[in-house]
Amino acid sequence: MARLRVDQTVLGSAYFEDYHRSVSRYKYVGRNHPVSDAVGKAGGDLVFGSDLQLPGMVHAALLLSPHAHARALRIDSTRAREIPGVLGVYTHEDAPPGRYCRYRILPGQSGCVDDEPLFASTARFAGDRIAAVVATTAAIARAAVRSIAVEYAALPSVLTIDAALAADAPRVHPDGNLLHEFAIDVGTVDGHGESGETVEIDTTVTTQMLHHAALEPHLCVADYDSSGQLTIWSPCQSVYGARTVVADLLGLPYHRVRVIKVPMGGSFGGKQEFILEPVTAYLAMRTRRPVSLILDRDECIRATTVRPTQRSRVRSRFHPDGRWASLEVDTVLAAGAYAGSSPDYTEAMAHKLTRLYRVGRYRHHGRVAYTTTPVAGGMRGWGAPEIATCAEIHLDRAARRLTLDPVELRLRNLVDPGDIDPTSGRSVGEAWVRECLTRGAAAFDWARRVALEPGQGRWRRAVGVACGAHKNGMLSEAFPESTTMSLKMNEDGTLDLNAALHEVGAGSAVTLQTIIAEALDVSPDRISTREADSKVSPFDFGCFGSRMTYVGGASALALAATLRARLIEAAASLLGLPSERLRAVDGHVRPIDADTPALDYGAIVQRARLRDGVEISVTQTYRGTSNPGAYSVQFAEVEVDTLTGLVRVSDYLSVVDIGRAINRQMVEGQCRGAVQAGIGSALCEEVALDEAGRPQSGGFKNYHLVNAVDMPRVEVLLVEHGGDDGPYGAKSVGEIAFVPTAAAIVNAVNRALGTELARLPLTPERILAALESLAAPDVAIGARNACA
Amino acid sequence: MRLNATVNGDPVSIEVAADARLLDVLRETLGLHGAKEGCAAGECGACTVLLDGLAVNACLVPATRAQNRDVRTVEGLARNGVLDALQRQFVASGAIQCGYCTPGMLMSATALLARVPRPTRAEIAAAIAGNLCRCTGYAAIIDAIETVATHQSASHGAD
Amino acid sequence: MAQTEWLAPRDPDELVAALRRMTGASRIVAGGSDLMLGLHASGFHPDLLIDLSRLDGFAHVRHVDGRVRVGALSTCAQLQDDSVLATHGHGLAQAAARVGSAQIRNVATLGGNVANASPCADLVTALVALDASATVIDGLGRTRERPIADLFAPGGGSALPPGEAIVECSFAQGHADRRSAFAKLGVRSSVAVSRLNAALVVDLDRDGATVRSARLAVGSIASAAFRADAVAAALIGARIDAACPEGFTHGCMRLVDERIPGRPSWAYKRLAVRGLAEDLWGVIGASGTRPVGKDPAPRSNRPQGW
Ligand SMILES: Cc1cc2nc3c(=O)[nH]c(=O)nc-3n(C[C@H](O)[C@H](O)[C@H](O)COP(=O)(O)OP(=O)(O)OC[C@H]3O[C@@H](n4cnc5c(N)ncnc54)[C@H](O)[C@@H]3O)c2cc1C
Ligand code: FES
Ligand code: FES
Repeated sequence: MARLRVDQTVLGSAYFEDYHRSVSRYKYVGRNHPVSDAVGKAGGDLVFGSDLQLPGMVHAALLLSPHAHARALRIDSTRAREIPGVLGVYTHEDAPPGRYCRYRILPGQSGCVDDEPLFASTARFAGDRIAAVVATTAAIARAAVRSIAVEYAALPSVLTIDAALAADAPRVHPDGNLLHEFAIDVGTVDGHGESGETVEIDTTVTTQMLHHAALEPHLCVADYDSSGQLTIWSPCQSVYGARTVVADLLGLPYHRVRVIKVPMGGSFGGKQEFILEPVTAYLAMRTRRPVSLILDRDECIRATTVRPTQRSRVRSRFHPDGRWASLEVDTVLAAGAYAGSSPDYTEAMAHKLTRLYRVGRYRHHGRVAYTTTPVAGGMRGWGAPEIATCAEIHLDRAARRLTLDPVELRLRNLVDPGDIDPTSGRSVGEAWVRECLTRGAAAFDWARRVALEPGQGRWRRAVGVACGAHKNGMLSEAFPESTTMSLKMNEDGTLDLNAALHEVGAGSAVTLQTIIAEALDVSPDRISTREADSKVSPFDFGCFGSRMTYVGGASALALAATLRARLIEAAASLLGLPSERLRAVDGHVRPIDADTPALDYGAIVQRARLRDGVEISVTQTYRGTSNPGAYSVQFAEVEVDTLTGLVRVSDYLSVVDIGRAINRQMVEGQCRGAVQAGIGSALCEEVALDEAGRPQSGGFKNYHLVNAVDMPRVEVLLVEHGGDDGPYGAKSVGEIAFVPTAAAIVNAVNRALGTELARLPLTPERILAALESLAAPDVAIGARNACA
Repeated sequence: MRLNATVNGDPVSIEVAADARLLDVLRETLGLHGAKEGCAAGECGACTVLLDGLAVNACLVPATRAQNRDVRTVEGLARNGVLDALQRQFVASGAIQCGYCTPGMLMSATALLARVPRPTRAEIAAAIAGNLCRCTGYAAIIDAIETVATHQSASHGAD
Repeated sequence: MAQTEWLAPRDPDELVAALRRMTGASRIVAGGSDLMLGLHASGFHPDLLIDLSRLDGFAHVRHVDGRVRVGALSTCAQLQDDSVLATHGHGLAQAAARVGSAQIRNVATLGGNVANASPCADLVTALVALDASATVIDGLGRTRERPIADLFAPGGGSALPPGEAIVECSFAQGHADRRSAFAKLGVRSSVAVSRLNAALVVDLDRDGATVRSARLAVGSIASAAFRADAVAAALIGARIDAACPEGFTHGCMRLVDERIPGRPSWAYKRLAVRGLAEDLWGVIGASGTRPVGKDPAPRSNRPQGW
């Protein structure tokens, strides 16, 4: 079989046109910039959290419940305490009684349920913290953990959403298992009513628990010194949130808790919530020694946080021409043992589809339930990938029923720039998703490839498409987007940016450097940034919600503009010229009419300070005013081995409505990394539970990440129209790039096989089982009737 | 027992436990934290170092295996504080995001290029199949290795 | 915690002396890819660790008197490119090439693969199909040659008592026109534990194209890989350039049905084994004797598109 390739000419010209357009306009924006600490990472000398060594540091290890639901009747740590090198064993018996919400950023934050104890007396999932040991080495701490004997009384477990919501379900928490419920009903049925001519499509899609799989394991280091100062070094996504949670739980005033963000080996949302900070801080206070707690891979998988498992029933009515008349979604989501972010997460799912499509009337009913399973939490895309997976699989079925090309069906329903999202009442802004789809389809040669037969042999090949929508920052009814930053110019014209940066490895620091560099016309390497430190950084909520570039970047740009004005003002005073006749170019302030000499930035700072006592620095708060849609459309080609059920993704195109790429190389890197994770979520990644509710063990041996050999070539096509309020027109990328990936692959597999697989991941087992039922028509028809 | 080895060109003589992992000795005893622990099970490759030029998982190799042998870690790639060609190209190609996989990737790539100076992309992918990366999707990493291979064999050809 | 003693014998005499000192809490380490992982995960500290890596002359592949002799310390990296195996034990070379990652193959040894006695060990399956035997040495310096299968305990795991070490595996070169093949199925196309693996050895008629006799070994559906020659018999008389005989494929499915009925993996493996059967047959037909590197590997496993 000849290999099909992306049409290089189409992709190439469109791509380079955009590239040249932005590159010619800007000096730094739109070019390639390595992440700010790339050299230290390449040299191996950057100190990650897991490399941190403090004088006198000791090591902690956790005893995790092996049972999904059980009361710890007796915890015998006698033997553990006798092991030389053990400094202490801690359990619920001596820990502070309070409970906390691992997702909280601020006191009084709505949507937070304080239900998690430092140590559990009743284990609510297989992985719940029962005890911790502190010892002089990690090996001794782990050995001591193994020697603790716990007598458990088993309680009935609640492993699925249905079990949790059953009338007589055992309770995970005293108030019952239904943690949160909401209903949205907006818009009106488009056209002539819901019945009549319309075609009803009804699908149910289930997405699975996933492990974030950041390569660096979860860890935290904490120290409590004799002056009563608690310091926490954490590879986290919000130092202020960690401060709030730890201080409130341990009864410390906020100024006594300092949280320092340290370099992190990836997060993907797994380090957004505060999982190890409270317990490590507590252990440091108890032992009065710097304590390091580093989990192993199995512990990371079962005892930190997972992408929730959810099931959504999607029911639509379409006009025969493919226009959506109405859409109704019913979502159930398993929060796991503690509420965490799950209530907000589920609500987030209900705010994506109406940013993407005009659906007529939109109803979304959501329920979140406690289960005795690993704690669900935020993960790349925050509900957007889940709902996109459900809706896009649904749309492909609709296309089949309506005998429409999947691209055509989507084109009939996508939003246009300026549409109002009925669930938020806000504009979707510069929403160029339609262009993503048409240009992507041309580049991928969709029309020709979709018409090809999958073949009848052992390997079947087909293409699939999916669209996705996400957001740009957190601005909503409930959340006033804002961030504060400081920028100071030094006497040599270099700059220090002080912002609560949480670099996750995606290049947010260099993005801010680039934005400021462009605004002030200085080289990005003359601008320093620092990671967040709650003691010295101005307040920021943290790095999540696709707000780093759109909100943080806009804040940096506004900050640079103010600083530039200050600089010009100072220069005006020094030169005795009106500000209007000066401009800042190439590190100098120059008169517009060039008869007076230019002053370089450094000279202005020096002289302004010495002569006028003027400081060239700015601290300012930026308030977000919009939250346009972020969009991606993705195309996959797959080859399915019908004998083994293995799927190879053989070609891929990711199109993103990026607004403007600030850092082209990193944007592409985000897109390609998202495809790696997306293939995993479509085909092979899952935190599986056994019958007793224990997550699988075996680390990466049994949790399968796509490796280099199984990655297809991924083309990236960026649609750049600018506009909106992002810096230079930029929008978010890291999350949206992951949103439609799983759906594109599932749709391709279903097209290749003629199946209707809707439970992720599409493991070889599920694929062969589906093929078997197709081959046995009686069974298959029976099954379809049962669904109808 | 006493371990005598060459680590990044320098002779070392240290006391190690017979069942210690090379990774722990490098990171804890020798303070070389470039090699990372991502799984402790040979699955992620973040701990990859070179033992007599062969890429191995330092989390699975007994430290004693280094007796009278040559160990190279990522810290040993730069010369006089200047990053080597692979390191520089990793930076330039955007092959580094969070950077946790980087040291291991660099060591696998170093071993590959020593053996196969002009590898195909498929050979590069196979050589780093034991190095997981969650951030980049591997393309930029493969680009970087390919670029260095091309330049190096071009300059060798000119010699 | 008591210190672990370390012995690194350099010759057979030192090895014997070291083996003599072994207790139930002593361990042998070759590449360490299984052993070190186990020690770290369990926190177990052996009283004595015998490091085989300093032994001289146990990493050979030799062709002597009609037998192919492979030293226990040969690593997968060596075996996959070995020229003797390329002609006389292609299936073993192929299995070695499919073990783990480059890093694992650089340390993982043949002896370790056998002694570890995992149900899905890839080299074991290839060896079983080749009808290999293992040479074992004990603390009194006695050596014995035993069929590979004898090294596996009936209920699973190794049957090798403490104080004994594998020094070599060997198999008959056999028939003049012999071809062997190995295939495995994991979740990924590389660096994946076998969910199923199989090896096939066929002897061809004088025409060089018709199967005269065949042996099959299958792994991952029993406590250790085992021979299933009755299934392989379906290949006798088939031309290797023809499609995979249905009798063979069905026989493989029946084998799974017999071995793991009702297991969670049964429904899948009984179907997937068809793919493995076709892959094996494809390798025999295409390249049964060619060096591994030059193989047109089964399509499902071929990285493409770079
Ligand atoms: C990430 C990863 C991937 C893997 N992938 C595969 C794979 O694809 N296929 C596969 O088959 N295996 C795989 N393995 C398992 C392992 O690499 C192999 O079994 C390997 O051959 C073991 O050899 P070793 O030399 O490393 O053994 P070691 O770990 O040194 O020893 C293994 C066991 O055998 C004993 N032993 C070793 N040598 C001898 C000897 N000569 N005599 C007596 N006892 C001995 C040891 O005491 C120990 O119990 C993988 C392992 C890892 C960690
Ligand atoms: S830490 Fe060694 S391979 Fe993952
Ligand atoms: S750059 Fe983060 S894991 Fe590779």
